[in-house]
Amino acid sequence: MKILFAVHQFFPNHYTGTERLVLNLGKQMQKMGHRVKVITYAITETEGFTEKNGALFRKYSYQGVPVIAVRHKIANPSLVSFSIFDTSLSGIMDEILSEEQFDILHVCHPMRIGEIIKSAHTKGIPIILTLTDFWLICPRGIAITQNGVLCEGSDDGKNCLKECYSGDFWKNKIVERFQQTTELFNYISCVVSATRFMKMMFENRNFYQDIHLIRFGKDFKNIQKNNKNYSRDSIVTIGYLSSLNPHKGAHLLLEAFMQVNPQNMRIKVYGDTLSDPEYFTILKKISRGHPHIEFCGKYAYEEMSQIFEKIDIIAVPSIWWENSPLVLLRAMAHKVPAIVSDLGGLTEIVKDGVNGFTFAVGYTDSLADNSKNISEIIRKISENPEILNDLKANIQSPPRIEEEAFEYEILFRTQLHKTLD
Amino acid sequence: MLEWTGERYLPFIEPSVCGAQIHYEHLHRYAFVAQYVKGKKVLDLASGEGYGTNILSKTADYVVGVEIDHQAVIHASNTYIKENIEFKEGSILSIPITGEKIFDVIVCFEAIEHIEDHGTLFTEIKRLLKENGILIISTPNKKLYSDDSGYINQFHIKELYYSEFLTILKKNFSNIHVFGQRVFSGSSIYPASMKATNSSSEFVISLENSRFSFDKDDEKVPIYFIAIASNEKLNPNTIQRSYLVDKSNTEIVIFQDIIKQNSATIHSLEHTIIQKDSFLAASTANIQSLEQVVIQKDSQLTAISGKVQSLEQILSIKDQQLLELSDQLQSLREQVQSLREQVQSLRDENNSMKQSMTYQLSMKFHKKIIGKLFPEDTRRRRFYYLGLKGGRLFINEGWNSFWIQFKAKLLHKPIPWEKITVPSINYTDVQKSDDKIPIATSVSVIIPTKNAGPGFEANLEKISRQKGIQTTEIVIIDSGSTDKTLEIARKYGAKIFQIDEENFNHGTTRNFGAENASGEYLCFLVQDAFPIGYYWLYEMVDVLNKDQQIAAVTCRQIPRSDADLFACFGLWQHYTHTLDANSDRIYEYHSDFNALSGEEKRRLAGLDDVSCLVRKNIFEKFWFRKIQSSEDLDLGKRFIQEGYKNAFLFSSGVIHSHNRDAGYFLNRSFVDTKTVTDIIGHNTQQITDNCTLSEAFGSIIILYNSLNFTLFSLGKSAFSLPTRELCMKIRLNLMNNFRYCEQNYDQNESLLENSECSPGDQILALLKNLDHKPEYTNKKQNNLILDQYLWVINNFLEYVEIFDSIEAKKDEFIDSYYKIFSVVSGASIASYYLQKSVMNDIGKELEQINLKLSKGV
Repeated sequence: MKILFAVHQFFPNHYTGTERLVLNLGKQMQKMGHRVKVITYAITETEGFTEKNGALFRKYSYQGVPVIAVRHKIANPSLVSFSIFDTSLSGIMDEILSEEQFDILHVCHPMRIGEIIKSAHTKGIPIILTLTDFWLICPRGIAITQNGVLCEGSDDGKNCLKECYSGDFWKNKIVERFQQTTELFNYISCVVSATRFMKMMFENRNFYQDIHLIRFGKDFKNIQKNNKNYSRDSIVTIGYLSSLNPHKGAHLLLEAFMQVNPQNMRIKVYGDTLSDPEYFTILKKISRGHPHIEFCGKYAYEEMSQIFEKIDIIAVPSIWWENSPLVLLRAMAHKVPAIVSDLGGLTEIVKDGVNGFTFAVGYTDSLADNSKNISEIIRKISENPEILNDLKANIQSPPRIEEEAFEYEILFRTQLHKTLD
Repeated sequence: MLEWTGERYLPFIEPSVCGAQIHYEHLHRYAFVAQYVKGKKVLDLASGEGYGTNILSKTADYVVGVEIDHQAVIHASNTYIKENIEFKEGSILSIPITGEKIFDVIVCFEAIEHIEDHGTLFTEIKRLLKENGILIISTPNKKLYSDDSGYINQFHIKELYYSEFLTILKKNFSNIHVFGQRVFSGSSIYPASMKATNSSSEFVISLENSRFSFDKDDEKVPIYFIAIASNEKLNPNTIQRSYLVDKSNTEIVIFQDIIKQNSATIHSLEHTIIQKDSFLAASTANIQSLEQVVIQKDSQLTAISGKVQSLEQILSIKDQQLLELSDQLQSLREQVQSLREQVQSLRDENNSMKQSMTYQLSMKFHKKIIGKLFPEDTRRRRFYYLGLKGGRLFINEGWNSFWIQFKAKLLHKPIPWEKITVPSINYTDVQKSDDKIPIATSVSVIIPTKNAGPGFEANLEKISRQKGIQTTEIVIIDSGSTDKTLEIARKYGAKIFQIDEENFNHGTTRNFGAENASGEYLCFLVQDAFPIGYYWLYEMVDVLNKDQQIAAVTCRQIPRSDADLFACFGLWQHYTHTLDANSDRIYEYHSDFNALSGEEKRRLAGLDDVSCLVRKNIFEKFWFRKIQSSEDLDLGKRFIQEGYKNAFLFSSGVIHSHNRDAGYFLNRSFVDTKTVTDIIGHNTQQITDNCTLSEAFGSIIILYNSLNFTLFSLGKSAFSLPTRELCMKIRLNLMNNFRYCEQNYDQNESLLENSECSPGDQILALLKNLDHKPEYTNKKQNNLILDQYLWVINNFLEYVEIFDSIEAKKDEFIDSYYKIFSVVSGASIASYYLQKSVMNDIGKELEQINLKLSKGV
């Protein structure tokens, strides 16, 4: 099969979870004998582009995966990350689909390149959409309002206008956006979600029905399992490996740690401290220079195995609806248990007291109260580090990237046969 | 010199100018008349140029020519100077000769039609003609000359029809004989060897419907009439046909010249037409192309117009945003200004306060009293500041705020800085659609092991977490593991059996596991195969559950994420070409299995114990055979032969692949070729054909060296070529290098010695370790091995061209060519071995080779 992956941004400049999903899936599909190409939007790159059909494009290869990066002639036009469709890119999308006859279009994130969906639909190419965040139903992508409150739902844009986008300018834009979202789903042959949570969010709001479930896979190359055994005297290190933004909840973890102040525990915070300097200042203020809290800065993907050798339990204290964070899957692959909030898809992976701990978030004004559950967990671990042995034993390895690719391949073939029929 | 006007005949005008016909007509007439003027006195009316008068003068006694044109008379007089010729200027209506009855013959050719008053002419003629004289007069046949042809002679004033001509003659003469004159094409037969008589014969033919046919004489219609008129009877002997023969065929020559010229002109015109047509076609194509360009430009223009519109809309939005932002900015500026003013006011107030007596006294108190009671850097000082802060908080923000802060401080809790609220969401319990109804059965997963490695635990974990099967057990038959294989197996509650390493056999070891398995179904799995999903086992059981005739089901293998290019190609080729299987299949065959082709047998029998499930009660009737390899294929074949079915699940699978070095594939291919041939009774890879061992090895060495040459000579830039182009280049160079190596075979061994290629080094070592030194080569054998190699690399190209560029996998790509060489070499040696085996002619050397190549697989 000839498979075209569409994603809003890609390596080498962008390497978050969705990009990695596409890269791993693409490479595995190549191993299975399929021709693969990635189409993406060059949101930050400016060099080496050629003009075609009113837009710019550049072809390159990343780890053997051929990539076509497109962008507007004007750098970062406004609404590029807001709009679902953009007719100014239709010409180049048509051209790309005409140059090579793809069998399948797999959209891993439709932001900025949504127009490829229309072009593919016109050409009768089956389109599979994998939901990686809420962008289709939340222009901000993370379903958190301007005030830092978890969003109840768009209500066809009414809540968006109320909470995040005010003014006449946005009124029409929001309405149009949700109309285009409905239109987009009409073009899609099949929607896939990695978690039941995300599946529920879209199905309950009637955006799509019968969403398939295919868990994200991990590349088990270079996975070294953390086979530590814990005793009463063990020093336990909690790892936080995520971006340092308020909705990721690092402040809850640090506050909880400060409340308990366990002497046999450490915290290593990995994340870019410059991404939100104000928030980092708050984190530093909360930690008050505690000697057992270490800010380790940014980390490279390739360093993760070494990091997981140094930590005993990770924390994903997100206060937004996480889907299926790759860092959690990676932890599971390394047999490292996790402390996670009870939001989103996290509890589909972590079961409280089985392979990790979960804590309740919200319903309170007090940071201290919100941290209370985590501090109880920290206290529990501090008093009995051996508990980690049981958790580790119960950790189920996440699916492998080969398994994920296999399931997608079966799905692609099914959709293709439906089209041929 | 008289000018040719067309009014009168001029004998000196080139036939090419006026045609030959006119010459024939005029000269013939006078020649015809000459017989009537012998020794006579003749008057030639309208003598014109005088040529006719001259002709008549040759036989006549005296001839007078009368011509109205002065120039003509001068010309004639100066041209035809004879004693018996005289020319007079005058009209034929008033002939300038006095007297009466003077002439014996009056000739009046082609003159009567030039005048109106025919009566006066005849009066003059009768005046001058003797009573027994004859008039010879000619005129054009008006009907043919003018009416039928449409020709209008401007010099003719009154033409006559035959009847009119006859009437006027009869009016003036009693005896009339009329002759017709016309130029016809003809043939002349004349005595060539004797003198001619006066008699002649004439034959008339005419062309009708493209054929000539003989016609009557009276079918000839004259253009001119020549009448002989007299009042006395004319001598009938003088009434004769007369022929004028132009032996120079002038008319024909003229026409031929005209035809030639016309042909040349036509040819030239045709050439011009061709050029014009070509130019026209080019212009038309150009026009079409330009029209296309115009259409494209129009389309681009429309697109651009659309984009311009879109940009204008965006611009409009931007302008709007700009206005809004400008307003906001202005508002903010005003606020900033207001705040600045406030700050300045406060500063002024502050300064004023600081300068006040009250403040200065307070500061003095603060320093002296407070400084002494609460010294700096002491705890008291800190509490003092805290108290001040609390007081300010209480005064400025009220009791609530004070209490929260106090409580937080007391409990060492920071001030809450973010509000987290989680709205209630309507969670509809998501239907767990992937949960299947369990099958009430038991499965034994049988795995032969030896040093399975650290990945084994993940495999056992996956097996133990399989869903949908009531009971699953794991049966391990270990043949001497020294790593943690057994520890891991125990951890997952496997049944463990240990055997000696030397007793291991793919078939019998599995049989042993089956004997000790309690499950209704037996799943044979290799130690490094990782099941995909949690329903891998269920899906295989489900297939067998639905059809009791299905003895076994095999599932697909997909490469690991770290599989090298050749490993991926191997699997791809296996499913795409060998098995031709890209969907779930059930195989059965109820006819003569042996009558099938090798490929068909291979597909039907395709059981694969990397991961397969067999119905135990059927398995126990067959068991694996004790063979070196392909025991699964053998079992599958026997199932089919006994009427059972084999199933293949494309939709279920295991992750399984190996990255091995090139040397391994030499042995593997050797062993597989032998065993597969033995099982299916057909060698699908006939790579040797009646050659010697020397020649078989010789062809391998040639292939090896030509491969080295080819791959070494690829520059770095070759890998930036598109994959297909690179592969084709390698293929072409290989073919050329192969021929070179073939021709220079005697140098090949030294090349082998000097080879620096790795991973080919392993192959080299193997070849050198074989006792046999190839000395001869066989072209047919060489072609066979080359063809086989090229066939495999064609398949390789089919796989590898999924990559636009192979640059990122350069090393694996090169390795693949060596691995393919190993596969082909192994198969070639196996083919040779099989041929000799059939002839019972293996020999000691070949058996040694067999033993060496059978190891390590």
